[in-house]
Amino acid sequence: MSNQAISASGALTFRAEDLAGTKILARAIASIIRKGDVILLLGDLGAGKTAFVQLFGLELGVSDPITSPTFTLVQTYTGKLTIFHADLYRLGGGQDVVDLGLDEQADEGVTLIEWGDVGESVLFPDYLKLTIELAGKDETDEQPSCEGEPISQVGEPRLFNLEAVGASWAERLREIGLSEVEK
Amino acid sequence: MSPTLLAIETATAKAGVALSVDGVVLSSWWLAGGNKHTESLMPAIEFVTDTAAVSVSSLDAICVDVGPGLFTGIRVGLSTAKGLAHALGISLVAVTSLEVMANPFRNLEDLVAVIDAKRGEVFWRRFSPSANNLQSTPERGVELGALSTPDELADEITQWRKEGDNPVFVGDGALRYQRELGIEAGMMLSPLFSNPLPEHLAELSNRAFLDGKACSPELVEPVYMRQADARVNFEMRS
Amino acid sequence: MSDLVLGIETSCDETAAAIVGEGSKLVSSVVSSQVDIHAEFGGVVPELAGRAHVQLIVPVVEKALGDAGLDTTKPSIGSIACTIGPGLVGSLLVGVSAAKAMAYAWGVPFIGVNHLEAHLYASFLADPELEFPMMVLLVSGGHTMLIHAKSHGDYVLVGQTLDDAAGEAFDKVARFIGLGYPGGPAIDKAAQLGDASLVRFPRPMIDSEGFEFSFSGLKTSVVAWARKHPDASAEDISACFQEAVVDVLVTKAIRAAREAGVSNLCIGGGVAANSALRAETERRCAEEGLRAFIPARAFCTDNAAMVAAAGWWRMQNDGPSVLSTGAIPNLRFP
Repeated sequence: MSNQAISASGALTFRAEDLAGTKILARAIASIIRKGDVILLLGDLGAGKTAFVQLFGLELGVSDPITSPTFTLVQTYTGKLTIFHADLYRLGGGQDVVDLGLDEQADEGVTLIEWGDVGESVLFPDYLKLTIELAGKDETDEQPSCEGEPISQVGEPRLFNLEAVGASWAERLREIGLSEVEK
Repeated sequence: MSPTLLAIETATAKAGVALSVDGVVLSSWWLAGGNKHTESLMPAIEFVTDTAAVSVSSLDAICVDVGPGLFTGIRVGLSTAKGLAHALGISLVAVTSLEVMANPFRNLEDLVAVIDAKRGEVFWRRFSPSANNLQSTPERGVELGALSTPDELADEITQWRKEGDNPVFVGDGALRYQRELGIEAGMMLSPLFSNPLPEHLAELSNRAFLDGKACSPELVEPVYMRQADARVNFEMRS
Repeated sequence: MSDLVLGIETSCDETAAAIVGEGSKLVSSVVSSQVDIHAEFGGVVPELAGRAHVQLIVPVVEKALGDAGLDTTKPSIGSIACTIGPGLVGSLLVGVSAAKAMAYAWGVPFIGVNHLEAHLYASFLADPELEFPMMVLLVSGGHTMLIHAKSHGDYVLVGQTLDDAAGEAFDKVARFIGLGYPGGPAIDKAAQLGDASLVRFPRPMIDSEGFEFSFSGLKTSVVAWARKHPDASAEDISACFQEAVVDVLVTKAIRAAREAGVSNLCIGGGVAANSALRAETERRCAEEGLRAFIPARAFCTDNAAMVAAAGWWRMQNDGPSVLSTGAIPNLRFP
């Protein structure tokens, strides 16, 4: 990942052509992850948030299947680090998010939060904001891209927007070396 | 009346239990730095009552710290307290964490208790003749304390000093942000008192109990203090 | 010793308590969402479970005891069973803490129960004559799994979802087509007015060799189709989507029962309240010569009666749990 792709605000965009590309990103982020880190995952339904967490978990040596936490709100996995996988989709507001107590356990592992925008303003001062969008063909011509296969097999091009909020991530994003960068 | 009280303190990372009769603590236990409140609390209650040779059936009330502090800890303590109080048919005495921490120093003229609220914030309350006294409880009023950033509290402190006041500080929040808050070493109480302790909860609650401030377990709620207004429109999510 | 078990459940959204005799005889069951909290207890209802549980735990237990005709402060019960996981830690610990405290104060054993195992025991509430072995299709918002239950406490995981649970797919599709939350009941209702032959959505992994499930792709497929067909009615989409989910679930459950050589098929979990799944399970089991055990709807969704039932059997087999039992948010099952 060339430094030029990083804007002054510490944001960059990564294009993954398929699942292998997403894996490269997951590995790069896993290589700089620290205990206490928080990653917010944004993107429409089906954008691939859970799929990213699955790949990220594999990089951290999680052997249990990582499934969607939408209903359970928070799921915990053990790998090289403890992973707290949360999903705020069902939650209506900041107070609900505060009630989850994610911040109280965040120091004990890595917290990945799907639909994290709900909690953005109330939870954490320092985090990586990862926005995923499908970057396939022209939207209007798009065929139903998925014939019902498990998400681990979905291989559409995706754009990952990485935004560092707070000091620690901006610095680290410069350290990771990915090559498939779009300005 | 010489009340027999069981005090449950779980509002911060230092969790503890104390048993007192007539305001005198007979036995107590605490564990620092643990986040195993759910696991350790009931065995601790059993230990504290057994070692004091007091049967839970002779308890007059359960005393509990309702926060502010750690959400999870407060829920464990309050759920345990409610379960015990209901099952024993006795009432609850609820006090706040900042009162508990200030309690051993109630003879000091001017004290500020500061609890680390995490996420770069602190819960704090000033105990001085010019502020308020130690008597208020959650069900009686709003004297719960405040939630601020260290910078905001530092501004308050600067203001107090301008007015000629120089309070003493206690609490893990004051220790953590000592430099930001500009607290001189001589104005900071020992780290031993940096968390609310079960013995102090028992002692404070004894006075509250004698003042008739015990209540039905259903009426007691945690003090969270942290408010969040951000809302997301469900229908926008697709 | 009384054979009555007080069951307590706070693993997710519901605060629930129930009294069950001998592991299958329902005496009382209270679920917080089913009672008018404002009317019963006064006060403001908090937004999310964790906070609500603290407020509701004592009143809900009191009501369950009262409904059972027991003394609410000195009930003659034999034990207290409570869900210790899996679930939301901030919610679980409310039930676990209160249950242990009451067990200690009343001098009765405390029994920690796995929420998923409890769902399986809902079938015993439906029919105490149910006998092992059986195949259990456990399907909810958070889980979709097939369990070969050989005897009390002896379970083999046959297959589970690789991504989304079936209930989650219901919720997300419902929200996308504007039916709101919770999506399960909404789609169930809408589907009854819809035409299931409008479009055939994929049946993910229906013919795959193992017994794994996947619903994320189906969800994406439905969403993509709905985007392309803005004129399609929510009712029709619901019917087609529901048919696809139910087809996959029932087909695999029956095949699993056949392969395991068991003749009893139980369904459990929140999605087991779905009318189409219930009807289709009944129909296909009859066709295949299997016995279907379908708990009443109230015991498919989260409740404490199933916890009390599971607790009774756990007590018979393993004895009580220790007072240092904690909440285990990622408790595994089996």
